[in-house]
Amino acid sequence: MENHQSEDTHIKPCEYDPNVNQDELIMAQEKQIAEEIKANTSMIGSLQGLGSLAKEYSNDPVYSSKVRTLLPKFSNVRRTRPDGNCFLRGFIFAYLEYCIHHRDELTRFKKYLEGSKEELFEMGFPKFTTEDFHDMFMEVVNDLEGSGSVGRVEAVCNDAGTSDYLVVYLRLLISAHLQKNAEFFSFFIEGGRTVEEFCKQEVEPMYRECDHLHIVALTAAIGVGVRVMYLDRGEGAAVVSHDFPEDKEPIIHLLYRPGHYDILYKA
Amino acid sequence: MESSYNSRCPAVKRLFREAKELHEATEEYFAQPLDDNLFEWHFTVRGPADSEFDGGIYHGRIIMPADYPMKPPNIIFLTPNGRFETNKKICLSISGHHPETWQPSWSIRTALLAIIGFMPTPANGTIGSLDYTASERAKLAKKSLEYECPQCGSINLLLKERTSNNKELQEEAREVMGQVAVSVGVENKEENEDASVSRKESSGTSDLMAPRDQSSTEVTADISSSSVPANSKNTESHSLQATSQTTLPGNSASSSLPAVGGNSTPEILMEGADAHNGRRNPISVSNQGYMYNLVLSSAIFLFIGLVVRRIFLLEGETSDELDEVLL
Repeated sequence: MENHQSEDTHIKPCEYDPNVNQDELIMAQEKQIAEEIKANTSMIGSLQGLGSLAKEYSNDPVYSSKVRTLLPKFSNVRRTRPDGNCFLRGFIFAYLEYCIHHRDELTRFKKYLEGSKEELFEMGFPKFTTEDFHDMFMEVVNDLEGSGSVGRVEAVCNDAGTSDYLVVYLRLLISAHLQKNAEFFSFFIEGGRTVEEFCKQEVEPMYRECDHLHIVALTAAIGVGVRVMYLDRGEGAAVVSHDFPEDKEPIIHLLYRPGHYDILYKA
Repeated sequence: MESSYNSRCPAVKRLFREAKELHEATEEYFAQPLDDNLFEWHFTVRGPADSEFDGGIYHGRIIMPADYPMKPPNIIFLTPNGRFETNKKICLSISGHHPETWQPSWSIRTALLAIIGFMPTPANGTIGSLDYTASERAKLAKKSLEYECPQCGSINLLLKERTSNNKELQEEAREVMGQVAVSVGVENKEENEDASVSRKESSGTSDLMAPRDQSSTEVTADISSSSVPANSKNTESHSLQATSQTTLPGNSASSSLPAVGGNSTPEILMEGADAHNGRRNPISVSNQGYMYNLVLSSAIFLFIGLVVRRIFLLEGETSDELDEVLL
C-alpha cells in the first residue's frame, strides 16, 4: 500500500494529493537540487576565460551587452559552488591567492588571525569550538607561508572539511564585528530583529547567503578591499560596481549575479 | 582506535577533541563515543532537579553526520522517560523563523544541555514528544535506574553522584534551550541503510530509493498515535524491539566511514535527517492552522448571525425564533 502511494507521487508530481505532506515533498526536492549542485560543481572552479560568461548569455540581450562591458576590464572568471557559502568561499580563495603573491599581506593577515581568537573569546564565543576553527585557519595560513602556490590554495579550498572550517571562521568574524558595532548595524537589520538574533540566524549558520551587511562587516574586520560587480537586469548597459569598504583600493573582485558570487580576474 | 581514522578529516579531529573534553563524567551528564565507532556516541543525563524527572537517569545515542559539525548531531533516547519517545531522532536546530540553523560552533555538550533544558518543557504536541502526566514520568524516572544498555551496561553508575542542585548548569541548560529548537524525526528516516533494514524487518516493504515519500506517510500515521499517550506507549515498546535490531547495521555502516573520510553513504543519510530537522514540524503547524481556522470560522458565523438578528430587529419583526436558533 505504501509502495503504491509513493510510486503514484513519483509519476504525477504535479497533482495535489492531500495524503502526502507537501512540505516533505518540497524538502525532498530541495535536497535533490542541493545534491546535484554538490555533484556537479566544485567549490572553487577552474580558471575560465570571460568568454565563457559571454557564451552563457548569447541569447540574452540585456546580460550579453553588460558582459561586453566587462570584457575589457576582466580577463577570467572562477565559478564557485552556489550553496549559500559562495561569497565566503570566493572571498577566501581570492584573498589567499592574492596573499601568496603578496607575502607582506599574508604576514599581516596571519597577525590579524592570531589576535582575532582572543577577541572572539572575549565576546563570549564558545572557546572550545572557536579554537577548533581558528586552529584550522592558522594551519592553512602557515602551510601557505611555506609552500604557497595557486594549486595549493585550490586544493585547500576544494577540500570539503578544510574549506568549510575556513567559512565557519569567517562567519564568526563577521558575527563578532556586527555585534561589536551593534548600535550602528541595528539600523540596517530588517524584521525587527536584534543584531545578535540576526547573527544567530543569518550569519553563523552554514549555507546562509551573504548580504551587503555581511560583506561590509567582513571587509571592515579584516581590512581588505573588495569590489563587487553587479550583473543584473538593472537599467543601462553598464555593470554597477560597489567597493567595500568604499575608501579602500580593492584587491578582490567578485561578480555578483542575483543570489550568487563568482571570482573575477582583472585584465 | 585513533589509528583507524583519518585524522586529516576535521570531523574526526573534532570528535576526538570533544571525546577528550567530555571524558570525565559530570554529575549531570556524560557522553562518549562507542569503542568501535567514533561517529556514534552514547549519552547519559540526569533528570533536572525540581522536575518530575528528578531522580531519573536517561540514556541514549548520539549519531554524528559525516560532515559534523557542519550538520547537527542526531539524538535518540533509549530510556523511556515520558517526554521524548524512545528510538526516535530528536534533531537540534535553532528556533524561530529560520529553523535550518544549527551552528557549527555548538558541540555535543551544547546538545546535552539542550536535552536537559528541554525535558521539563511542555511537549506541545510535536511529533515524537510525549505528554505523560507528572506521576507517570516520576514512575518512569524511578524505573530508569534499572535500564541497562547493551554497550554501556548499567547506566546508573555512569554519572557522578549528585552533590548539589547544580543550579548554574541548569541555568546554562535553560539558556541553551532558548537558542535550540527540538524536533523529532522518525527513526525510519535515519540512515538510508538503517531505514531500509528496519523497513524490511518490520513491514516487509523495501523501496530503498523512495524513502522520503514513504516516511512522510509514516509520519502522518505516527502523529495520530502519539497524540494519545496510552497508544504511544504501545508503539514505543514496539519500536524498541525494532531498533535493537537496527542498531547493528547502523553501527557497521558508519564504522566503515572515517577511514575513507568521505564515504558517501552516511553523508547522504545524514543530510536526509538534516533536511527533516531543518523544518519545524510541518504537521503540527498545519494542525494548529486547523484549530485557528475552526475558531476563526465559528467567530465569523457568530458575527453574521448577530448582524442578521440585528437587521430583523431593526425591521421590527419578532426575533424570538431567531434567538432560539442562535442561542
